[in-house]
Amino acid sequence: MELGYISILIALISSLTSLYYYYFGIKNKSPTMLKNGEKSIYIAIAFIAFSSILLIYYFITDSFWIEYVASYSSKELPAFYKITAFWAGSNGSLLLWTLILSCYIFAYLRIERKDLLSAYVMLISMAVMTFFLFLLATVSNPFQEMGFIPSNGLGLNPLLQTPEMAVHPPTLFLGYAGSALVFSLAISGILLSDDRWVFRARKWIVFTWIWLTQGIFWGAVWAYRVLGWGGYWAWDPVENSSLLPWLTLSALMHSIMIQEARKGMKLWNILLASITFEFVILGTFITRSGIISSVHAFGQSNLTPPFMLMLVFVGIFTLIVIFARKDYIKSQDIVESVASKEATFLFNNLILVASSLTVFWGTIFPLVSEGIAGYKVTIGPPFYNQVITPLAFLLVVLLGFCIAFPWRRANSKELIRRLRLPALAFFVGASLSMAFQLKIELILALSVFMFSLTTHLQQYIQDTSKFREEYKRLSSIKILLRRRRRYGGYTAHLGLLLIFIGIAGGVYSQSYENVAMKVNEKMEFGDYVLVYRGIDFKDTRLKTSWYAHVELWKDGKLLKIMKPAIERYKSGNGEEIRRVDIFTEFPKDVYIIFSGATGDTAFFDVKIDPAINLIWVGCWVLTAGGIFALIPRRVVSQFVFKVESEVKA
Amino acid sequence: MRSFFALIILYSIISGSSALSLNDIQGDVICTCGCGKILENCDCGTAESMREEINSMILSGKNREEIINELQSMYGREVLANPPKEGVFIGLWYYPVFVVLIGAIIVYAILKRRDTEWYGDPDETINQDEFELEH
Repeated sequence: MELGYISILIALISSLTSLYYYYFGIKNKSPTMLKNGEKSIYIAIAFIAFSSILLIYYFITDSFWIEYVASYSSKELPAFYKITAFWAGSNGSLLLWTLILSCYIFAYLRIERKDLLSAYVMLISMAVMTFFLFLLATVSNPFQEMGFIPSNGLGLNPLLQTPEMAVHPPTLFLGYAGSALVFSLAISGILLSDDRWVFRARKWIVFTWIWLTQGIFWGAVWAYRVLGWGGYWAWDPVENSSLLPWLTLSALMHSIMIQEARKGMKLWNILLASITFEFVILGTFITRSGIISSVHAFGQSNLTPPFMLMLVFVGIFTLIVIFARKDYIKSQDIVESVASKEATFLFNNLILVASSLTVFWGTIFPLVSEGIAGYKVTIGPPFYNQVITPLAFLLVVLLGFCIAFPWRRANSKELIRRLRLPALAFFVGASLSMAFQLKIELILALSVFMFSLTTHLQQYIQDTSKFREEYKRLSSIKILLRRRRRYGGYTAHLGLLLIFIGIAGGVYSQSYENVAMKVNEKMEFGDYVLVYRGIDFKDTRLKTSWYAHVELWKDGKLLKIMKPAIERYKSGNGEEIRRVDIFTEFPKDVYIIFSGATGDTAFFDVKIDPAINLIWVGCWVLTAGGIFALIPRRVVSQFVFKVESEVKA
Repeated sequence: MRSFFALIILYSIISGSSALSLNDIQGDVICTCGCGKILENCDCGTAESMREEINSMILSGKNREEIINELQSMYGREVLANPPKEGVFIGLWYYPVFVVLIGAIIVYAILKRRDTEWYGDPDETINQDEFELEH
C-alpha cells in the first residue's frame, strides 16, 4: 500500500478517534478524554500535512506511477507549476481543502480558550474533517497507483499554468474551510444555548470572509487575464458557487452585530452560518460532480452520492438542533426605531440573502428544468444581469443610508443634515453624467455611487472629529484603531463602491470590436491607434508560440508594443490557448486577443474597458477593510489603551 | 425634481433607439460547440460561423425576435441563454420577486416589534476582553 494513502488512513482513524473522545468527553464531562481528543486531532493534522508534503514531493520528482501526478504533470512542466499541480484536479484539491481545514482547527486549538464551547466546536469541525478524509480514503484517493510507470505525464492544462491559478484555489479554500469553523461555532453555541459563540466567531467570520473575497478576486483576475474572452465574470455555475457563501457570510457579518447589541437575530444568524456552509459544500460539489456543465468544473466523478448526503445531513442536523433549542433561540426584538442602523442591517440582509437565493436558483435551475421539462436549460448572463442588477443598485443606495444612520435611533434633524451633502452629490453625479451623454443605466449608477461615496467620506470625517472630542488627546490613527471595526467596515464599503462603479463602467460603456488588420495597417479605436506590425514565432520544449506585434499609439506617442499570442502546448492533448495582452491606463484597460492569421492579415478582438481597474482596486480595498477590522485587541491594547489610561491619569 | 426625472426618461428613450447589431443578439444565445459559454464569450470556429449567420440575418432585415426564433429552430431550445418567460420557466423569472416580497414581509414584521433592550455598541465590544464578554 502506498505511503501517502496509509497516511490518509491514519489521519482518518485519528479523526474518528478524536470524535469518540470529544463525544464521550463532553457527555461524561471528562477533561482526560477531551485531552485525548485533542491529541488525536494533532495526530490527524500531522498525517494530513505529511500526505500533502508527500504529494508535492511526488510531483517534484515526476513520480508518474501515481495516477494523479501522471494526469496533471509532465517532465517539461516548470517546477513552480509542479507544486501548484497539487490542486489542479479534484482529488488533490480535496486534499488541499482538508489540509486547510486542519490548519484552521490547529489555529483554533492554539488561539481559543479550551472550554466546553471549544469542545463542541472541535467535535463538529472534526466531523466535517472526517467526511473529507473519508472521501480521500475512498472515492477521491490522490495516491492511486497506476500499476505501471509511464515515461511522461499528460501535463498540466496550460490555462492553469499561471500565477493567478496558483493563488485562486488556496485562497478560495481558505474561505471555504473557514466557513466550516463558523458553522461549528454557530451549532455549538445553539447546542449550549449560549451567546458566547457570537463573540468568539466574529474574528473567524471576518477572516473567512477576507479569504472568500480574495478567492473570488483571483478567480476573476484569472478569467480576465488568462481565459482570453475579455470578461471576468460569466455567471458560470462554478463562479456562482463561490459567490453564494460570500453573500450569506457578508449578511452574517452584519446581522451578528445585532445579536451583540440586542441579543436578537439568534435563529437568523444560525441559519446564515448553516446556509453559508451548505453553499460551500454545494460549491465544492458542483465543481467536482459534473452535474451542471461548466468550463471550470473538473468533469464527471462519483462524488455525487456523498456530497448529496452531506448537503442533506447538514440541513437536517441544523433544523433538529434549532428545534431542540427553540426556547433559547426565541429572539428578542431588535429595533427601537425604523430610522436606525439595526433597521438598515435588516434591509442589507434582505438584499444579500435575496441575491444569494436568486443566484442559487439560477445555478440549480438547469437541474430543475431537466426534471420538469426534460432538458437542461442554460441560464446565461442575461438572467442574472436582469435580476441581480436592481438588487445591486438597491444595495449601493442602502450602503449610503446605512452609514448615515446611527445605532438605536436617529434624530431626524441630524439625519437630514447628514444626508444633505450626499443628496447634492447624487444630483451632481446625475447632471454631469447626463452632460457627457452616458447611457441611462450608467447615469443612475454614477449618481448612486456619488451618493454613497459622499455619505462614507462625510461620515469618516464626522466620526473622527466626534471621537477626537470623546477620546481627548488620542491621535487620529489611534482613534481609527480603537474604532477599527467601524472604520474597517467603512473601508470595506468603499471597496464595494469601487467594485460597483467598475462593473457598471464595463457593462454600460465598454467598447468592443473584431478587427482584421494587414501588416502595417493602422486602425483607430477610441482614443487609441493600433498598428499591426507582423507575427513572431517562438519554439520551446514546452510550447510553440505565435506573437502578433501590435503598436498602441495615443496622441502621436507610442504607448506599448502589445504582443497577444496563440500558444500550442506540446504535452497532453496539444491544447491551444490565447495569451491576451493588456495595456493599463488607470482606470481603463486596452485588451487585445489574437484570434489567428491568414497570409499577411491577422484577426484581433479589441476591447476597452473604461473602469476595470477600479474592480481590482476595490477588491484590495475591500480586503484591507476586513484586515483592519480584524486587528487583534491585544495589538490595539498596547498601542491605544495604554496611552488612553496615561492620558486619564 | 419632476423635470429632472422627465429629462432622464426622455434621455433613456433617445439613447434606447439604435440599429440592431450582432452584440444585441450574441449575449442571448449559447455557442453550440458544447463549451457552455454565451456566444459573445466564445472564440471558437463554431462561434465564428454562428456570428456570420446572425450578421447575414441582420442584413436581411430580420428583427431581434425573428433572429432568435430562427436560431432556435436551427439549433433547438438549448441555444437560448435566456429561457423564455413562459410555461415552466415562469418560476425562474418570478422567483426573485417572490423571495424579495417574502423577505420584505418578514422585515416589516420585525420592524413593527419595538420591545428591545440595548446591551452595548458592537464597535466597542471588540475592545473588551473575550473573557469579560463571555462572563
